Amino acid sequence: MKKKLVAALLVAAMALSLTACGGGGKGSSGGGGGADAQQYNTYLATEPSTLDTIKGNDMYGWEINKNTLEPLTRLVEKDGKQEREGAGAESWEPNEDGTVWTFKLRDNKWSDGQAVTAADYAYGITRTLDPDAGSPNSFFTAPFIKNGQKVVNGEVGVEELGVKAVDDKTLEITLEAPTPYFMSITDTRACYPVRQDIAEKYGETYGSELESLIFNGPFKVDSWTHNSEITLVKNDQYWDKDNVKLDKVNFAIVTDSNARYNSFESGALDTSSVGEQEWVDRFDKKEGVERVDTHQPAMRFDFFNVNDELFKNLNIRKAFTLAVDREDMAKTIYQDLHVPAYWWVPQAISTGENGEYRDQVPGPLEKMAKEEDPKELLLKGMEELGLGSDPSTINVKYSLSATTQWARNYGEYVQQKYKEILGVNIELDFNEWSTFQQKTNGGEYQMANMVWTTDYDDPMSMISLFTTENAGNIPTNWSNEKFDELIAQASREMDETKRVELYGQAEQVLFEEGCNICPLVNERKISFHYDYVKNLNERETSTSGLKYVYIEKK
Amino acid sequence: MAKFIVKRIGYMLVTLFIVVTATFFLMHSIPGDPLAHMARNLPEQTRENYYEKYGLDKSTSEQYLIFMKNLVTKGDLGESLRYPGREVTDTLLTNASVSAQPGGLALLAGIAIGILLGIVAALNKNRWPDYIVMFIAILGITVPVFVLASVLQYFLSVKLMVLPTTGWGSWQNVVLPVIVLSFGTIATYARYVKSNMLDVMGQDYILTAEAKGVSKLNVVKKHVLKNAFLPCMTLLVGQVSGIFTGSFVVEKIFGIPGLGFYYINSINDRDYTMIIGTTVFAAALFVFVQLVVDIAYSIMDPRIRVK
Repeated sequence: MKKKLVAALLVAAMALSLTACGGGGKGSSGGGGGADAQQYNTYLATEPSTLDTIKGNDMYGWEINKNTLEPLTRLVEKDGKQEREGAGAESWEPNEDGTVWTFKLRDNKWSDGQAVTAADYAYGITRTLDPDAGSPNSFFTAPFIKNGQKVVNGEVGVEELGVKAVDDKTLEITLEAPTPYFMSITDTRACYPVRQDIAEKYGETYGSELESLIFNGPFKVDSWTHNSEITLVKNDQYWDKDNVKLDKVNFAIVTDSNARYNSFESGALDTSSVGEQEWVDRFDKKEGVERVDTHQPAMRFDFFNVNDELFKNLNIRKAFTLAVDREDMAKTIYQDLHVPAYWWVPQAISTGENGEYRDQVPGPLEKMAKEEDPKELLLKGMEELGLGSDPSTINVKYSLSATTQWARNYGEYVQQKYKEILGVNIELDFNEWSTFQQKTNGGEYQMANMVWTTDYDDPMSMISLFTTENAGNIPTNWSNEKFDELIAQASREMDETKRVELYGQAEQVLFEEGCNICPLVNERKISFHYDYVKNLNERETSTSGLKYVYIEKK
Repeated sequence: MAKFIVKRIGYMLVTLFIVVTATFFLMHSIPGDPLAHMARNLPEQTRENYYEKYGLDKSTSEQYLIFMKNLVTKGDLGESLRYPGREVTDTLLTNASVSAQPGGLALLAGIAIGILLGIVAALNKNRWPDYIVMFIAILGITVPVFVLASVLQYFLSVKLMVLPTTGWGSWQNVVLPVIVLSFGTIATYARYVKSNMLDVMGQDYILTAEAKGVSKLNVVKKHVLKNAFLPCMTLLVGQVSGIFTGSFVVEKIFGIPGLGFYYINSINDRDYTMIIGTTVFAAALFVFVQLVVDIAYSIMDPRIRVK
């Protein structure tokens, strides 16, 4: 009797697990649709804070915005090159001195059937700068658009802003000064269209729930389960819908990276970026997947407080910058996931038609590292400061913005390396991000470690961070007239080649006369996707989203 | 009894008031602000406009008064700073109801299996069933949930592909979280029930019952179990409130949109309104469940009738 019961239970259990199999996990590739179902299963690592382009500032919301709203232009990949393509705008034209840009919009519709007008773009741009909106994105456009900064500061009203909807199809933007790279800003969130009637109807709740959203991009949001999943479906009101292949996109919100790798391995996700070498090795061996290495427009770097007793000396800063063995760091610490960086403007940033900036201008530190000896520089600096000639008397506090085990290992590595190469003592100071921010902004640090990602696709986004005017961004307290002048010149220079030259000179000055930053590695993203997913963007700065992606299963 | 309940509710309100006030000032005393989650230094003016919009430019005591006024007069916990446009109250209720599903099932399963194992162990003291149960109990307490969760996920979802890895919405999504979450409960109850039963079985009244000639089964049923379960109710207070507040780790691994996420992340994000909301929620649940348990105690056990 007993045996029979056990057998029956076993059969029941097997039957149950079989049904579970047939049901398949929701969205698993085995279960869903036919061979050529145009469905792409991807993920977001975190729930977007909001889908409102005015209030939203994280990359997760941006990922959804890019696919569901139509910016004026998009940076599109074609045959391995990037091209700026008209999106919401059909054509655009600057006036003679490059201060007034006129955009002709194409016929496009919102998902409720209303026509997209120039007023929608004008409202989006204006509202982002309106101090009442408290938008974290105002810095994108404030320096460029006429009266932008004054509007943000509350000095003049929004009606003074250089943005005008001339008629339904014509948008006119007046700039403070000629801005050669202005087009690179037209696809940032600060220039996205916003429907005034909808935004005002929902007020504060606009963008927080699906009901309050409206779309005019290649896709529209179909469902949004907070912290779980966002699904998009193709937008049949979209002007270029014939070129949109995917019918459905699932963004699973998976915060745990191991869970994400497991989901990719099991086929529930079609793609995953991978941050650990052991998983990279594993997926490298997996069949039917493709690996894409993308240089990120992001830098990991140390920065020095130029007001500090020790780091006020240029030779000391240079010594600390040149003492870093970047190749070894990339290998030991990052297992070659990231690239050793001898520059400040990261790879992946391009300058109009000339292509990637880093292909045109070599990293300034490369040459310096070969020519100068860090130990000598240190001793020279110590002499200038009257600190004697014994490096072991130098104690430096190194502030980190994390308290994780990884940060501790990293800190120990830095400590050991500086001891080895310069003979100085490093004291580690681990902080939570908020505390770190407060300390560094308040100038209560000597040397600190941070990551910076570019805001828009032009070297200006990175290099202009060190002008006297922008000094608050990375608080090194460094200021240099020559540098400021070069940046001012570059910001007016309409000729691409000449501008790149000016950037190059500015970067040179930054390291020769400043060295207030010590670049370490250029970030790189390694991601895998199943080979039936075609046409995924391979460059981080592209803004076409999933518009041209399609599925091709054998 | 009515007087007792009214008095206890009064105490509850005082407790909650203290919790809210303490949390409010404590969280404002940690460095950083809600803009920090943007992981980027924003220009000064951009910050100022943001602070002004959300009233963060006011002094802490001023902010406290505004917050208390809204809470007392409107029952309004405010809007999340991290997720603009979302009411804290809505977020709490929606996510707590999600957490409660795997949490509740796991608690029921955990208690049922745990008690059963505890009884088996107690009745077979120092014999093999006891050893097996205690072995399971030790495993359950010592193996961290994230290890168990990852292992189960790997074998059942990736290797055997019988269950989905992550997600929410179908019954398959609940299976692994329930197993993982109930493991600890099973262990706790097995041990607790066993030791309580052994304790009760050594009491004089059990000897009396046996001397009267009551059968072993009836002794266990009528005397041992009832008395051994009473202390277990204390354990229940934390666990019942725990099912609504969710488990950060388990929810993260299985992608369950529960409340656990907010307990940890609201603090990291300095999402002030959400920190207060989650704290008040947990505190209120805890004191409420405690009240219910105290009432139940006084009904079931005449020895500790509260005066």
